Amino acid sequence: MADKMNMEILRYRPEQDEKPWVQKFEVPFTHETSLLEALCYIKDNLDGSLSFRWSCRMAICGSCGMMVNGTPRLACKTFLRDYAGEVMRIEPLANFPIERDLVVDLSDFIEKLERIKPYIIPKEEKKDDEEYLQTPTQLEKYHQFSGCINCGLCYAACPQYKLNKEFIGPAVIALAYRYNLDSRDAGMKQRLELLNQESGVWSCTFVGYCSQVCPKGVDPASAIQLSKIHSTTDYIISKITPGAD
Amino acid sequence: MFEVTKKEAPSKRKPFNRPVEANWWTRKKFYTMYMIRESSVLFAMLFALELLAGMICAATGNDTSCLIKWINFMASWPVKIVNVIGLFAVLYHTYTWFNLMPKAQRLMVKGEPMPGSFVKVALYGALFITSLVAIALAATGLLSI
Repeated sequence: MADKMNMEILRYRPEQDEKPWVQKFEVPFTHETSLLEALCYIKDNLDGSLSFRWSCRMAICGSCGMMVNGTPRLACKTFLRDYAGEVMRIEPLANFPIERDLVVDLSDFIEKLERIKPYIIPKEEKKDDEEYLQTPTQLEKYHQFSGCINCGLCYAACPQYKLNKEFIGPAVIALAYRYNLDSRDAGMKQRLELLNQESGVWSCTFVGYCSQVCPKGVDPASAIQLSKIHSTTDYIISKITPGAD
Repeated sequence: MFEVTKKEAPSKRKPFNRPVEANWWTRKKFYTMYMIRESSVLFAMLFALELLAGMICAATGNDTSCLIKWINFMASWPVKIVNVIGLFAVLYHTYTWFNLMPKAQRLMVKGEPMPGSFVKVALYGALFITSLVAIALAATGLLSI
């Protein structure tokens, strides 16, 4: 026997609506029903016009981020049983423009992600048959920060990004830090050009909520504070070695 | 040959930016605690200003009237109450800061990351020792009067 969940969903249809509005649904659920399944139920049975993004259903594609009772979460990793007896309020991911219903425009995040070059920039290109070797100890240095799935939950959690869209943001800095720590990478100098700016690491005031909401256990708040050390070291070195490249 | 003419449909895009409400930090306990953490520094600043005023008075040479005024000011009840609140605010700030420090100080020993409690224990130890030194200095200062 399935229980019923009262859900309030923020709707916004750009061709009809001036501003978002709330639509209420009653959705049956069992112990295993995820929020993503509940949304699919609504789309299949109650209102086919509801738009939301999803793909993998297993917390790896990072598509289904949304606000659940004010907290950024992945819909596929959120279960209705944990909200039994409450009303679930579902809104699109905070701090991003709403494109339609629960779909947001993440272009700002993607553009910033491209800017910090989130890939290995080797010191010298090796020949096709040569490998870039790495020891487990070298891997351990950055491994914690390599789990990012680019879901954007940390941006929705960040008050600094809310107040200042210039801020490059938690996930991007975490990825920059991840590549800066990689023993095969030599691109730190290029990334520091962005990280050193006020809109880089220095816009972060260590609220720390980004690390709380990350569905993959990455710690962006830590990566930002540790990147501040990189940035400070770079500044001091540039002061004591003027003219150096 | 067919020529395909492509008609561009006008875009229906109209992204909606939600306004930032002034009370955003009251909506979630985490943000509220963050704001309390950050604002606790105002009390520390206030106490620093009080001490600075005392030092300026003490440095005004032989005229002790300024210093006496300052001592009376510090002994007044409103200032005492503000300073006691300030003490708790600073202790809370210290507690939250020490909780966050392991994130800003990552210790690796033999390639393995150390648990955050290592950093915290070191910080509380340093706080304890510096507090003891400060109390000892204050006590010897008082004894010599």
